[in-house]
Amino acid sequence: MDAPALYDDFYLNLVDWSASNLLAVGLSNSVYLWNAGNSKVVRLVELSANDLVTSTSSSPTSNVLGVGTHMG
Amino acid sequence: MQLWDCIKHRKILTCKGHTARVGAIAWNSNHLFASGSRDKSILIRDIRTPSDYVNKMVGHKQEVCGLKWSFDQQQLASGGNDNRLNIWSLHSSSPTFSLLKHAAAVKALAWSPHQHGLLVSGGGTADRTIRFWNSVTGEETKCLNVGSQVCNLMFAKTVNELVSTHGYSLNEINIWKMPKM
Repeated sequence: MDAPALYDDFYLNLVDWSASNLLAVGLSNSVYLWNAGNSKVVRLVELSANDLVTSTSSSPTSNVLGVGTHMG
Repeated sequence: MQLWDCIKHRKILTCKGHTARVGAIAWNSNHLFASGSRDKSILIRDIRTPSDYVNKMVGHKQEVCGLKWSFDQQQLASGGNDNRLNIWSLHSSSPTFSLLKHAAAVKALAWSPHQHGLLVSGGGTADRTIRFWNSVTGEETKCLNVGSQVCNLMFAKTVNELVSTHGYSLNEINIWKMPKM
């Protein structure tokens, strides 16, 4: 998966695996899911243009992804 | 911050409560999680309840950048840009221990799956140490000077080894054999 604009900031946590074998990656104002089974990529989240994804974290065994944003 | 369903590709919830960026999220179970923010607070949220959060933890003086739950889900470790490592119990709003030994931001945190109450923390560029803690007593049990900013820490599950990843200036990945402690 290409990851242009992966924000270089020590304080952020932008990459996490989900229980369903999807890799969630925060890029700029979006979260993309890379499917480890078939290498397909989908955009899950698109925030407003002036916001940023600042963290992603998957719940232990369900399909819920927490997405932290610059706005709070 | 928001919660999304990764399979149905739907937003589940917008979680209110923070007033600045949320850089760390840690799940305790499928319904309970902690979020840490540049607004210095940690909010404990339960997605089964309508309230924005069930507990507000105040103990950092700057941005919260590291959050990890212990394996028994009873303790939360948090690291901040205030160089502080805090250890909380699930239902308390002030830290059980507030540990000020690192000389830079504390982002990297890991709980040992091999030894109950063993917590490991790593410091930023001005610190470059990995410290080992007893989370029951708050005592520091070991300190390693590793020569680089510590970005992430994680224990291996099947063997007693610790992986550390580093930024400035050596950008290494190290694997440590854990001594008996």
